[in-house]
Parts: sequence; structure tokens; C-alpha cells
Amino acid sequence: MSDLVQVVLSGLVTGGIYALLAAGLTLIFQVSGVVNFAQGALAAVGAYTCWSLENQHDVALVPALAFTACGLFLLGCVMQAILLRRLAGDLASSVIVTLGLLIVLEGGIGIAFGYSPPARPLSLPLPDGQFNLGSWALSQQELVLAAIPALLVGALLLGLRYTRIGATVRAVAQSARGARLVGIRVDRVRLGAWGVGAILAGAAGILIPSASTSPISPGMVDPYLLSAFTGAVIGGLDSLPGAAVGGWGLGIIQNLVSYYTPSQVTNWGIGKDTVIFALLLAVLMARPTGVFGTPIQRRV
Amino acid sequence: MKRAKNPWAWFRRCPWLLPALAALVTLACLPLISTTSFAVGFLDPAGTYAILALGLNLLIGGTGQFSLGHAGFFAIGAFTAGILSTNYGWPFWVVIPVAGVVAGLFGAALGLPTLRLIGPYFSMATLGFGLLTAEVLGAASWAGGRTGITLNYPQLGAYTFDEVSFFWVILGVAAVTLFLVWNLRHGATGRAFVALRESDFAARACGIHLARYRVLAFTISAVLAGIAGSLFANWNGFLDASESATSSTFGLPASVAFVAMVVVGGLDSTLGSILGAVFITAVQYWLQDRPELAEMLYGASIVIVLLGAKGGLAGLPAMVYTAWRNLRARGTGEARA
Repeated sequence: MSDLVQVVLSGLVTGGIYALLAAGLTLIFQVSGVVNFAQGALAAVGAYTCWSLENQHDVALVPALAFTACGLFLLGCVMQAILLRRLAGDLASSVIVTLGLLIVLEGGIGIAFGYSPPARPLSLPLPDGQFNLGSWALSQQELVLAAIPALLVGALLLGLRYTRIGATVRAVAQSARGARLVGIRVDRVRLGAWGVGAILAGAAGILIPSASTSPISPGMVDPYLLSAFTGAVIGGLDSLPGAAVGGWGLGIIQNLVSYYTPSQVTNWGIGKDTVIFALLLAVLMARPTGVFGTPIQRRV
Repeated sequence: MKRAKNPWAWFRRCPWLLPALAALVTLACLPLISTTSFAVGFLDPAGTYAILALGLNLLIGGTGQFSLGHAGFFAIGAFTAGILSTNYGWPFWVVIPVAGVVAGLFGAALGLPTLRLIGPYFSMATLGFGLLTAEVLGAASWAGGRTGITLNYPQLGAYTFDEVSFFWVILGVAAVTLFLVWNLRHGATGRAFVALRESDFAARACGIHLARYRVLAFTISAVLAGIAGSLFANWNGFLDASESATSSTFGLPASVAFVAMVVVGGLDSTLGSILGAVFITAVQYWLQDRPELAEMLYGASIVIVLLGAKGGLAGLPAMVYTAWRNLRARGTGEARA
């Protein structure tokens, strides 16, 4: 039982990163109709900016984080304003264009900072003690790492639900034309959504080195990105809570599978990654727009 | 009274025949002057990927569905060929069509359930399939496991092909594929694909069977990817699927490169598929010491083509011509739309 709790908690840590990436993806998708694979590159840009400020320029953590967030917001806006505005509505090619951007940006980071991981890690001031809850000893670091994404995604959801800006974003997500009719500046809302999506991605990028205890590298987000997208698609690309839940669920399922799969099965090529892609195919067959997604209804 | 037979009638009917033959003969001479490293690095992959891109362009350009999983079919073809020829000793000319059929069966099996999916959902489902295939083949012991599969040089009678002379086989398969795909695309089937891409409602109102044609396009592209995979197995001589989800032969990077070939060559252009395959392979060969730069270059070319010049390489002459004409028109003071 103690094992199970520990495995689920680790699943929540990975799942939290998936949820952050998935939430940014869904926000951007709902508002601008672009599936943003470049989310992974934005995450890497965030991690590298923060690392560089901290380790190469001796900036304290909080200003470094603030600077990274502002920079990412601008980068997201620029991507939408210059490149992706032209693609609005062209679902199929937006996937490919952002995939191309992902490759280019990751390559750019590789050229700027080198491909081999830097000696000094991107370290966050995390507690390293144990938290005793009854008979379970839980790692405080994992608890904090699991809590940060939950807070961020929760704040986003509350903001969307209860603030005026949130209401305009939801209006654009429902119908861009209708929103324009009631006087909402749709282009600005899209810019903002891209900016916020980029910040969420950056948060994921900054958490990844601590969650996986590996050094930063240009392609470090890629494995997370695929699972996050799978989670978002399983949850439903047009439902933000659905996508976030999909991300967390997937993290837990992956961890449970890799912990409890007997080795004979693993030798057959069935591991945590195979299970999630099989799950993805199964869910899409049953519900083509994801579990929480709105089924497509069209009139002739 | 019988009209005198025009000896050039065949030329009128097929004006492309002479240039095509000339191109074929020119290409067939290439192995005579090629070194092994040039054949392995450029000639063989360019031919192999041209076959794959021809099929993939029917799916992506024709029906407008972006598949991110065709490296999976490529891997299925390659491992079918590898297992059949090493474990069972089948000759390569039997193995190649069989690999196509096996990949085609998987294609039909995946094409049916993904029929209802649109845009990003379709891309994600195919991506999942591709990674699933790569993971299973990379870990499964019957597919060579961590040691991989080593193939013998393909033999025809007493003759043994090497990396250079196998290009003739690839060229033959590619020529036949080009002929078939060209006819398919410019016949009723190809028009049905395009009708479905432009508006599936209108197409269905005209009596085009949506499910049948979508699955057909998917299956054809899978068959050609499988055939390309089996050719790859034969000239590469070694199949290694460990770490394959991230490998540039069978993993996601390969699927992205395949899409790049189609997009850069020119969506829905038959000759463009070949141009794209040659272009991407040339980039990879030219930058083989800096694979990350090669990847960046074709990532950038996808973005540029999809955002700026949708015709790709095949549409380049028309684009240059239009630009030149507009420029000249401006010079003479004529306004043009």
C-alpha cells in the first residue's frame, strides 16, 4: 500500500508537467485553432533562459523566474503575430508547421548553448525531507513538485471562470465571430492566450530537470511533450480541464504500468509508452474528440 | 480507304515517354560512377524515400490528412523483409511485395478506425501508432531485440547485388511506382481523393464513398512505405530498432522527415514527391556530420513552404514566373491583380 501511494505520487509529479503542457496546448488550440507542438521548444527556451540567468549571470531565482515569464510571454505573442496567424483554422497544416518550429527552435538552443548538458544543473530550492502521513513517508520534494502545476492550472481555470478577461477568452473559444460581434478584440485575446500558453510551457520546462533529476538539454522536453499531447487528446483538445485531467491521469497510469509490469511482458516490447499509445488509439476510436471533448456536430 | 498510319502517333499520345526514358537511362548510369558511400548516403535512400513519398503524397496532398506515423509502416516493411530473408531464406524479389502486403494490412487495420478523426486527432493517432510500432519492434526479441537483424546481400540467381548495384532494383521499383501513382492520381480515384479533401460533404453528395476512398489512400501509402522499408532493409543490410522511438530511421524524426519530403516537394504533386525526397536526402547527405543542422534546415523548410509557398519545389517555377510577370507588368505601368 505504501508502495502504491509512492508510485501514485511520482505519477502526479510527471503528470503535473504533462498537465501544464496540455493546459497551454488546449488554451492556444481553443482560442486560435492551432495545435502547438512548439510548446516543447517554448518549455526548453524557458528552462535555458532561467538556467542561464541563474548560473551565467548570477541573478537570484525570483527575478530570473519573472524575467523568464515575461520573455516567454513576448515570444509566444511574436510567434502568433508573425507566423501562426496565417494558419488560423487550417488544423492539419498547423500541426506540421509547429512541429517544424519545434525542430528549428530546439536546434537553435542546441547551437546557442551546445548539445552536451551543462555542468551546473538548473536547481530549484526544494525541500528534501520526508513528510510523514500516518504510516506513509512521502518525499517533500515530490509533494512540492506535484503541487506547483496543480496551483498554476487551478489558477488558470479559476481565472478563466471568474474574471472578465477569462470570460472574453471563453467567448473567443466558443465562437470567434460571435465574440467579434460583441466587441471583443479577437486578435488581442489570441496574442494573450499564446503568451500565457508559453508561460505554462516554460513552467513545465523549469520543473522538468527537478522532476526527472537529469540535466537540461535542448531535447529534454520531447518525451514529456508526446505524453502531454497524448493526455490532452485523450482528455479532449477543446476542454481545458479535460486535457489537464488527461495529463495527470496519464502520468499516474505510466508510473503504475512501469512499476507493476512483469519483465516477461516488457521483453515483448510492452512498456509504459506502448500502453499509453494503445490507450490513445482506443480512446480515439471510441470518442474521436477525446473523453471530455465536444463531439463534432455539423449541419449540411 | 485506310488512312496512312502516322509513325509518330505514339509520340503524340505519350509526349512524356522520351524524356522519361532519357531520365531513366541517365539515372541507371549513376551506379556505374558511384562510390559505395555515395550510394549508401544518397542514391539508395533518395530512391527508397521517393517511393515512400509518392504514396504519402496521395494521403497528405491528395486527401489532406497529415500522417505522423509512416515511419511505423516503413519499419514494418523493413522488419518483415529482415525476418523473412534471414530466418526463412526467402529471395528478395518475393520479400519486397510481401512486405508491401503486410504493411498494407496494418494500414487498412489502422485506416478503418482513424477514418472519423480529423486534423490534429488524426495526426496524433498515427503518431501514436508509429511510436507504438517502433517501441514494440525495438524491444521484442523476435525482431532481433537489442542486437538487431543483419541481412545478407540480396541475390538474383547467381548474381549478388551490392549497395551500389541494388540502386537498379530501387530505380525499377520507383519507376513502376511513379507510373502507377501518376495514373491513380490523374484518374477517377485521384479526383475522388481531391474531392474529399476539398469538401467531404460535396464529394459524398456526388456519390463518392468516403470510407472506401479514405481507407484506400491510407492503405496505398502504407503499402508503398512497406515496400520502401523492405528496400531499405536490403541495401542497408542491418536493422536496429533499439532506441527506435527517437531514431532517425524508424522513429518520430523519420516520420517528420517523410512529411517534410511531401511538403517541401509540393503537396499533391506527383513529381514533387520525388523532388522532395531527393532534396531532403541531399540535405541529410550533405550535412551528415551535423545531423542536427540538417534537421533544422528541413524543419525551417516545412515552415517556409506551408506559410509562404504552398506549391513547394514543384510549384517553384510557376511562382517565379508569376513574380517575374508581375514585376515586368509593374515596369510597363500595367496594373495587375
